[in-house]
Amino acid sequence: MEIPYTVKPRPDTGLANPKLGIWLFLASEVMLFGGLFAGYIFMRLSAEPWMWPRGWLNVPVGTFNTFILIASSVTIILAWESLKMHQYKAYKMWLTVTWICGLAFLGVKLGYEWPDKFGHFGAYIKGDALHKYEAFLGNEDPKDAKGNPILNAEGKPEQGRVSRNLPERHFISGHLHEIAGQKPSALALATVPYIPAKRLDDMIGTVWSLDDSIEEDEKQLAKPPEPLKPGLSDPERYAAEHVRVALKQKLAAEHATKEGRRAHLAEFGMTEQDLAVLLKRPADPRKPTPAELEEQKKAREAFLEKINVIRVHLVDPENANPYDPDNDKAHFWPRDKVDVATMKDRPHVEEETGADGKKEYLLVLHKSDLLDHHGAFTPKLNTYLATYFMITGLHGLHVLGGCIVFIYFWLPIKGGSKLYKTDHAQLCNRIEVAGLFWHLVDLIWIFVFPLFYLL
Amino acid sequence: MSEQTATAEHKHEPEAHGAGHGHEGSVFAHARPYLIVGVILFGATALTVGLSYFDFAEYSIFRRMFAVIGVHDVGINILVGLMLATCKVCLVGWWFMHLKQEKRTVWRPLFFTFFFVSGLFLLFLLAFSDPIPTTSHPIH
Repeated sequence: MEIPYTVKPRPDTGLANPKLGIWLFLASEVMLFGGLFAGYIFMRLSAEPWMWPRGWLNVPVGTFNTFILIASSVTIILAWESLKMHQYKAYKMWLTVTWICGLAFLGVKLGYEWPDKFGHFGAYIKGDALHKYEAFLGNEDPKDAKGNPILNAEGKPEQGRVSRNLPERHFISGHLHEIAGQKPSALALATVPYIPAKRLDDMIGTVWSLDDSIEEDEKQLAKPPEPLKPGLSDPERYAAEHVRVALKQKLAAEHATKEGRRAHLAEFGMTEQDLAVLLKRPADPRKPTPAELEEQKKAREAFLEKINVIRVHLVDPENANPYDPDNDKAHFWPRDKVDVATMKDRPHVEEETGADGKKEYLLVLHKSDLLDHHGAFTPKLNTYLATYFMITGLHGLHVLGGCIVFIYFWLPIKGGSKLYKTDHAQLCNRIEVAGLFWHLVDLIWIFVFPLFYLL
Repeated sequence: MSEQTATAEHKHEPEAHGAGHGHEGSVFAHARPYLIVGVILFGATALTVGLSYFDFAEYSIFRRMFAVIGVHDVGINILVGLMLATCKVCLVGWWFMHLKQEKRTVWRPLFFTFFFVSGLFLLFLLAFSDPIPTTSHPIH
């Protein structure tokens, strides 16, 4: 069946059906993105200026992508004009350039911009723990390792946010390195953070060396599983079941030997001696002395402190500036106010030697009670990233859709470039309609770019 | 492209010309206005980037000017950025999408779209004021 009015205008509307259809679709698209933009602007303006992230996106890269899309809008017009003028080679060439531009745009987004965000890490520090990370937050006047004020280029002491009468900053960022506390637990040790304190007390004193720990684990597994006591709360039931699963896991190949367990302890920054202190058996396990109980408690707290941390590469020591009143602009602005060499002497900083032999500094964030929330630069971290990924993702899908349509018209198939010989007017119409969609994609980006990258 | 397409296509029937015979003249000559608009859009993009480094709220003349319409602080930069983006969008629509020669059948739904989207965008003014004063209850 032949679809009517695909090329010739309908007498009542004065337009060919595809033309009217695409304009109605574009109108609905404008409403969709208009609502999203309006919502974003509303949130942006409602937030205090210093609270909203600025400088997180790469402006030169965003500008490059804007130029690419504008250029592709011009080339699709050139393709359409060439087609109308029966210049087939020119038409094919400009159409090719158009979809290559589209794919290049997506390549930049998916190959660089989005993955770059996934490699970053951010954490919101609780108000009562700000002082612990002060060196990286820039609220107080900066001091070097010896406690002397850091001088600026004019020889005057550098001022932090409070001295400048700027609000305190609670956010800290860097390159994601490791989240120790979130590793799957292979040793029963790694299950400690999940076990209620009472249960931990039960464990202490049951094993006291690595050899004993293996023997103890095998004994435990050899027993038939005990039925769970009635009346357990959900966390207690979970912990009881979890311990047994962890026991099975830790007897798997890499943890069934003393060396394997020693290596695993090292991952948590512990030695065998630390373990011995942690799990030291009281002289009389039935009647531990107050001193022994105190020693156990301290050892346990020290252990939990060690295990329950996030290690991130120090706050972009090369690029970020924690004293910037707007934000740290991870990547693009040189940090010249802080003496990186003194970083290793600061609290909460660990020095490591990387695979290439270079020294790396890691910031240790104690997530147990000091962090509000934390994560990679993904939608869950904050509202800005949530809207950024949602809107650029939706726009990216439109770009992908446009590219697929253009490639379809470009291919030597019946509905594609073969149409040039069989129904030239139809092909012109198709390119026109697809071109209108492509211009809308460009038009949306014209709003996305300033809103997210610049403002 | 517009209404012109259908009529233009009738003039350019492939059967009449043959697929392999191109029309005389360069496509660039026909597309000159589009190329000029493209260059303007490039320039406007560079201007947008440049203006983003300029803090309008630092200057009292801009503060006073925009305060008249209830826009302050970072809102000034956002409004200027949006106005510039709107100009670019108008160029794309008017030239690239050929709205300048489009029929009323197309303009009519677009008018409603424009009306509602403008309303949505103006919602941001609510970020600067509480339009419902009765929501505060100082005395209970």
